[in-house]
Amino acid sequence: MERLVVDNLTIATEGRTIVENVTLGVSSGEILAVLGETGSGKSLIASAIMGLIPRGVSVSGRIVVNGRSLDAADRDGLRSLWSKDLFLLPQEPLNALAPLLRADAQVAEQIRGRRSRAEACAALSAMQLDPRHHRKRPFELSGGMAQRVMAAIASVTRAGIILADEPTKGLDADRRHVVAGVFDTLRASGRAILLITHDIALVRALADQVAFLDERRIVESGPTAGVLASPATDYARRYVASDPSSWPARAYKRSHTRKTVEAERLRIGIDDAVLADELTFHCHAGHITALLGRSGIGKTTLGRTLLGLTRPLGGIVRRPPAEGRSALQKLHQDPTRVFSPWQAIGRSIEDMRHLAGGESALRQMPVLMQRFGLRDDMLERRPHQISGGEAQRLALARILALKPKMLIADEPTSRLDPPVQEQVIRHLREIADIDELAVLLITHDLDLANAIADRRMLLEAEDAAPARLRDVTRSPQAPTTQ
Amino acid sequence: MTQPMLASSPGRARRWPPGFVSVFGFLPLAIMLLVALFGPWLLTANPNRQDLAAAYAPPSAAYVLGADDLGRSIAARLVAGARISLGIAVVGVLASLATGLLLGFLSAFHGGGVRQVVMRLSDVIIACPSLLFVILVSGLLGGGIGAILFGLWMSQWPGFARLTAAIAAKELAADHVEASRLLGFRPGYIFRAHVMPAIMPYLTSLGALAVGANVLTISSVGFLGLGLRPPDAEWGSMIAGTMTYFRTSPHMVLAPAGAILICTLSATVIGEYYSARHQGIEEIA
Repeated sequence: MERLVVDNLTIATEGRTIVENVTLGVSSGEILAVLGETGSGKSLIASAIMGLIPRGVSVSGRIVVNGRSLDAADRDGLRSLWSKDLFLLPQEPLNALAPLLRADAQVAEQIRGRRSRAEACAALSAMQLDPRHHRKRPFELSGGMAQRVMAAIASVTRAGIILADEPTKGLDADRRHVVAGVFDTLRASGRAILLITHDIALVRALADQVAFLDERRIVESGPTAGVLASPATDYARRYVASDPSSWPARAYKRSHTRKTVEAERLRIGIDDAVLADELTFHCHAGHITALLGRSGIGKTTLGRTLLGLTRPLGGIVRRPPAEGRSALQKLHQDPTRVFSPWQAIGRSIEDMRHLAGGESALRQMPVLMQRFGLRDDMLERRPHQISGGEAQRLALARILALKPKMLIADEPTSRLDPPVQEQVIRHLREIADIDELAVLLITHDLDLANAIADRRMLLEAEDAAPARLRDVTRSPQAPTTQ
Repeated sequence: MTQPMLASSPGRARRWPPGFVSVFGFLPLAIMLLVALFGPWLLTANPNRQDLAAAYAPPSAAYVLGADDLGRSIAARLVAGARISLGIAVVGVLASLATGLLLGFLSAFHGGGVRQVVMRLSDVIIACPSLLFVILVSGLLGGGIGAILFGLWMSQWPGFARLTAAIAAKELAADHVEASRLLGFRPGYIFRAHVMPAIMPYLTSLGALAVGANVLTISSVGFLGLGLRPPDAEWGSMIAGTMTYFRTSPHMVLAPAGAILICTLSATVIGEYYSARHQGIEEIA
């Protein structure tokens, strides 16, 4: 029997329909993934089920929870089901936990009876949280641990239906692994799970059913394996194709181009804490070098050291000579944050005229914007008013106009939806091939690295020792980044 | 805590009915400032001219707000006092704001020693109440406009410096500043385009509140007899000089008290208005 049914849900503001006639059903012990891009309205489906749509936004349709049919506009009725029938796992678990309560106390709150503390610890252990973390407060927990605490809370409530809104947004592969484990455990306990995400890798790994949401409507749905193997609609096909794991691996070729940046026995770290040591490598013009490794191992610090933003603790970095500005530029993880938030983007672009060689860079901009498919009217907007994909292409155009020799791209696509991610990656490949820039791609995504990088380096460490660099170019099945 | 929270609760910022801030904030303060600036041209009466026949006179056609115990026009003295009270208050805030902005930005930009010196100095000064500071300085320097101004400036710049340093440090660590630095933009540009716009709303808010506080401090010092020397008109000393006649001729006390109230109230409304607007800015950033 289906525990949760969403029947003809429509959400609209004045003059705009955000979600239209969405019908879904989830059974016990099943995960239904709603897959869609940012702005497709997918998060609002979860909000509607929880009765969290702000008043003033009109909601219609029915929501059937464990056989009880409620009007979707009955916010109070839906809210009264919280933690009895419905549970929402929020996007950022650290922010959802009570800041001063210890992990086990947070879980115990939901359990009646004298043995609540012991049961809480059992629930935390069931979510693979090590007992030494049970007495910690949220600020002592990592994001992954907080996610497990939230899931433990969900597992001790009577709620049979769990909604999860983008549980992997902005996460590294290792945390994504944790999330998958958590949902697996919740599913095994017989709960019905509605997973709202843009992350196709997570869906592939986890979901029983999938529904693609495109521009407010469900365009395709069915069992995950079948839909992902042979998508019937254009949208789903494009979405599935944008997953790097389906791309062919890039063949190995010897490099003949000049070396752009060389590092010799480089030791990196923050302040005096050494993160990695004995790093010797070089990057060639026209090559994409992928830098892999688990989160926190020092990938970003290595990038910052190459850029000259962080002082190396030892060793040598050889860079091309700087002419008024660094010949190395950086593509950031969150592209909407690289332009001054206080002024229109066009203003930021025009301000390049204050730079050495800025006038000629400005003359390049229209050509570059056209090349990256950017419209002029974007320049009138503020950074938060454009999408991540547009911002990343604008950032790329601005950097390229200043003719750098090398680009350090730090997780440039991890915050983008897969179809947009594919586009940015294609542009990166183009920059290496046509503009002959050296690109260092910092990523946790081995599939992505295999598909587009000419060289792959893995930063790995044993226990507390400083990390070392290993060339894994010719071993595509290299140990994963977990 | 297990209940999900609404992603954002719009309208959390204080909302006043439309026009409230203009009518109770900007308008009164603007009128006061205009009176202070153009007072001598508006007014024909000499604030220090005594007309003992008119002493204690209630408001009339000849004396709009009445006359005080020495028969001086209260309206004229209020206008003369506005120049002093409001003038010192505004100049004091502008001076502290400029000092705080400079030192705060320098300590955020350079960090290390500069930051330590500025911040520790601020700690020491902030530990001392503003009024005490002004009284102390006035006592040491023997009163007068210069002493009050110096005391206000000394006691106030640390607040602006700390606020600037905190916000500037946050902005300087942001991706957009890192990107600009890599592209080769100079510190001056980064300050102007990336840091100033983040700081200004906070400084405006704090500045407006500080104007109100300064008016109070100046009046308090005047009331205690440590401010300007008689016969110069000053709101605080006007109250002090006429307080004994409050029962018989309340207008003599109420007029300067009302002026102080209007100034502090409108400055506070303006300050609160800007501080409520920050929340919108925070959401963008």
